Amino acid sequence: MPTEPFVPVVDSDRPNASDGPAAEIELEELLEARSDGRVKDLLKRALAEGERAQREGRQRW
Amino acid sequence: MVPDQERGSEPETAWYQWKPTNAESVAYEDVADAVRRFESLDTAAGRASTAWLLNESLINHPSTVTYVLVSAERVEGYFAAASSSVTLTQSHRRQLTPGERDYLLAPTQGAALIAWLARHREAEVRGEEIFLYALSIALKVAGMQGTPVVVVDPYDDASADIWAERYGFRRSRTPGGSDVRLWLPLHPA
Repeated sequence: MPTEPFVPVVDSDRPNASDGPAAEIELEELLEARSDGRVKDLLKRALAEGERAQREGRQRW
Repeated sequence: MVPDQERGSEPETAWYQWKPTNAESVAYEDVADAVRRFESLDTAAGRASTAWLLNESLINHPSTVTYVLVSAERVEGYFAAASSSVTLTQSHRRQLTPGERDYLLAPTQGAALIAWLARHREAEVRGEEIFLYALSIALKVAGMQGTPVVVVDPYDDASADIWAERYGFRRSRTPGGSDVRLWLPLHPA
């Protein structure tokens, strides 16, 4: 059984988080991040996880 | 349990949207029961995530859509997704290449927000499986309507460090506020 700690992304004062803190991102940093191999790998893994759930009929929505 | 003829063969776990129409349906009584029994970690963040799923998730639908990962035993974990936005700033003006101009035409850009993400304290699935599936949903939305980033709000600085170290999340600037919003691009170059 996995024992890794898991950190929820939460803010108890803001149950509907769509109105969270205003976020500013520097364009240069966004462009740099898009070329980051670690990010590319993460997104590939996410795509694979979504495709796996779909292929195995595990998306019931 | 939901009848097999309605759900088909039962895999080990399956993702459901936890929304009012499902919560009111007898076909989802087992999911509703699992949601009622959900208990995340016995920490401040874990208790808050438990309370949100039980008390706020349905009220917040459809501005926030909640997905629960259900096994025969429990809700293994959940996440809630919402739409948000970020502001792009440019301190160093330069000509963008055609690829760089994609999705970046206005200073205000749409963002996918993973508003909540938690795991049952006895979950048999890894938290990363929940996160990767949440990210896959953000990628689907991005592919259809052009949201160039995904953002999360860590519970505290320690959580922010974990998200940054484990997945490469970056800190955005949050003018006028102390809260930290982390982000990742959804469209690799």
